[in-house]
Formats: sequence, structure tokens, C-alpha cells
Amino acid sequence: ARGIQHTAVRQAHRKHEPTFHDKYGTTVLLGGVAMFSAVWSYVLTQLKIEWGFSPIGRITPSEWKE
Amino acid sequence: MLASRVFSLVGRRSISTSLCLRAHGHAGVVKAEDYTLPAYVDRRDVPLPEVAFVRDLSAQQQALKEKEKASWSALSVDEKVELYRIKFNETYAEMNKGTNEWKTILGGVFFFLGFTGIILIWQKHFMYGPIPHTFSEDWLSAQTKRMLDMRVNPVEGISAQWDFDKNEWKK
Repeated sequence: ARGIQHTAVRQAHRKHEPTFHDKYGTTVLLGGVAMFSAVWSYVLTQLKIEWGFSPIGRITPSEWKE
Repeated sequence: MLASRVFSLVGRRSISTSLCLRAHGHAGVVKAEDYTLPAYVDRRDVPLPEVAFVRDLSAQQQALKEKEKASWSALSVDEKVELYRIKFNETYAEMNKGTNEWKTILGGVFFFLGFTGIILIWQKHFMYGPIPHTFSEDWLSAQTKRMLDMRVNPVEGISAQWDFDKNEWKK
């Protein structure tokens, strides 16, 4: 059965149709990277999530004693 | 003697069974399933697979196979290629060819990592309450000065990173 199928497909077999990855791979890759960078740049900068970064090099100490 | 008597009891049924099989044209043997026969495989480490790729030849291909039995210099290039394609599915070049699959995979990975970020946005918006007042800039600076005054972690920690003479963080 498989031999008959391949006999019939013999001529078309040479061309090797472009796969999903050939057609859309680059688009999927770039789209995914763009979406990722957009979302995470927003999350890291605009969202006001307390990430708990170290005060070293960041905070200027100020007087605490009353 | 005893065995032949048993055979006469059982024999009728077994003879009629084999007659039924013979009616299917297989001389008392069950037809071999495809998966039990040697298979064709495209693998780099199997240069000559056990069977040819094309099992049932068309009339055209059978004529070519007959021609192959004569001198090979009589065959045209196209005929040689056709003979190759009867025997093999992919060439080594076709077998080894890379794909663009990695683009889809990596794109999908980045997409779902981005989706995780969207979950964080949702959480911040709908779920988390306001952050404690101890995270305000004023409080953090006072807190840091108090820690430095107490000499918290002077060996390798926060006080080790502060220059007490110049009153600034060490470079």
C-alpha cells in the first residue's frame, strides 16, 4: 500500500513543499521576541512592582534620628 | 496409536480450518503484516536499507528495471535518477538538510514568556494591594543610614560597601 502511494506521489516528491517553519518561522520568531520585550520592559519599568533591589549604590542615606 | 486417535477427533476441524485458509490462497500460512516485514528507513548510519523504497513498481518502472539488466551505459541520466529514486527515498543531502523549526520553537518560547509577563501585569492590577510604606524613598534612605550607623554586616555586606571617610558608596 505504501509503495503504491509513493509511486503516485513520485513526481511531486522531488519538490519538497515548504513547511510551516519555512513559511512562518521568521515571523513567529520576530513576533515572539517583540511581544516579549514589549511586555517585560513595561513590567520592569512602568508597573511599580517592588523588586527589592539592593540600596548599595542606589540609596542616599539620610538622617533618621529625631 | 493413541495420538492418531486424538488426531481423528481434532483432525477434522484442523483440516477444515486449513482448507479455509487455502481458499484465501496462502497455503495454510497467515498473511504477513506490513510491520513484520523488513522496512525501508532513511538514516545516515544505514546506507543500504533492507528493502527498496518503492515496493510495487508501475509498468513504466518495471520496464526500466528490465532495461537496467542490460548495459548501464545505455541508460540516460534521467533513467539513472529514476532508478535511484525507486531504491531510495531521500538522498544524503536531503536527509541531512536542516530545517527552520528552531525559529518556530524559539518564537513560541518567547511568546509564552511574554504571556507570563502579562500574568504579572494582571496580578499587579487586580490582586496586589499597595506596597508597605517602608518602601518609600524617605524611609529607605533613613533605614540605610541607620544600618550603616549600626555597622550592619561590616565584613562583606552593606557596611563594607560604604566609604565612611568620604561619606559615599565605594566605587
